[in-house]
Amino acid sequence: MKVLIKRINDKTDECLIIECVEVTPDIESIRSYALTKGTTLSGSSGERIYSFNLSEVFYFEAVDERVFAYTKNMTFELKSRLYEIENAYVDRHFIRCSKSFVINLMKLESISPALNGRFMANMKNSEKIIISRQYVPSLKRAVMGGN
Amino acid sequence: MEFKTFFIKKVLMGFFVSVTCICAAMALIGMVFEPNTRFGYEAYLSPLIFGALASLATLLGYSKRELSYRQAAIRNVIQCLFIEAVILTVLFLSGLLAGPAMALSLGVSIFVIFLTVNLVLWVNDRRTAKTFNDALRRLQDGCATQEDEKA
Repeated sequence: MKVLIKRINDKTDECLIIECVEVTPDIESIRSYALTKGTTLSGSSGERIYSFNLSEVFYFEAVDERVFAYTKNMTFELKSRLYEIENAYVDRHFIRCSKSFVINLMKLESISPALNGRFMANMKNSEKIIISRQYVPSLKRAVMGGN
Repeated sequence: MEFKTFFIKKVLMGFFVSVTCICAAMALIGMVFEPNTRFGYEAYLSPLIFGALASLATLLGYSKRELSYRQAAIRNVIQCLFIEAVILTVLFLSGLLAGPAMALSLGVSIFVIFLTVNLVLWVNDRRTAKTFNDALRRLQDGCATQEDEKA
């Protein structure tokens, strides 16, 4: 595949155009990667507001109407709702795995079977998150493809 | 999990594994306690009947809402006790229990069968997890390649 980089002056005009015959999984993967890299979020930690990259987030968690983003070393509180995050970033490898969690597939180390037909998500930061039975099929679709 | 999926995945699979294990348990316990007893063709029905009783008890583990880890574990214990109670009661009422030693052996056998069924289901889930993890690795490697190309 040929790669062309064209320099422009205005950052707001930056965009990535993919010209392809067919949208293959590889193309989808490039798209997701580009979208993730280009997205910054802002969240609060203590009294301060921080800006951080979406690709740094391991997972989002909803706790009592509040939503938190977890990166390697920091936790940020966001203004969004969990379903908004799920819908906004579903094409950027962020997948709902239970009522309270949306995980980053790029930060997922592995899954392992848990009790009663459920699975455990072992994140790359060694945290473990339960994958609810009802979200197992969509998680499989996101990673393994198919309907 | 939908009820239909739960029924096919857990109840039916549990039934077939239970029937196999019950046949093995009947042969072993029979050889120890009643080695001279001979059966007719109706004996083939008992593993199916007890397998069905044990598998229907799997329905106790079904819940539309998501159970916590602790709730799921408690349900599994209740399910095991329920199976023990039902099968031993049926055997007792039909006069097939020869004595306390046989009842104890059967109780242990039922527990071993329960563990075996759950082990088989767990092994199946582990196979699913392995397939998923392999696909996940490919997905992540694809993205890592893009990262390297960028660098």
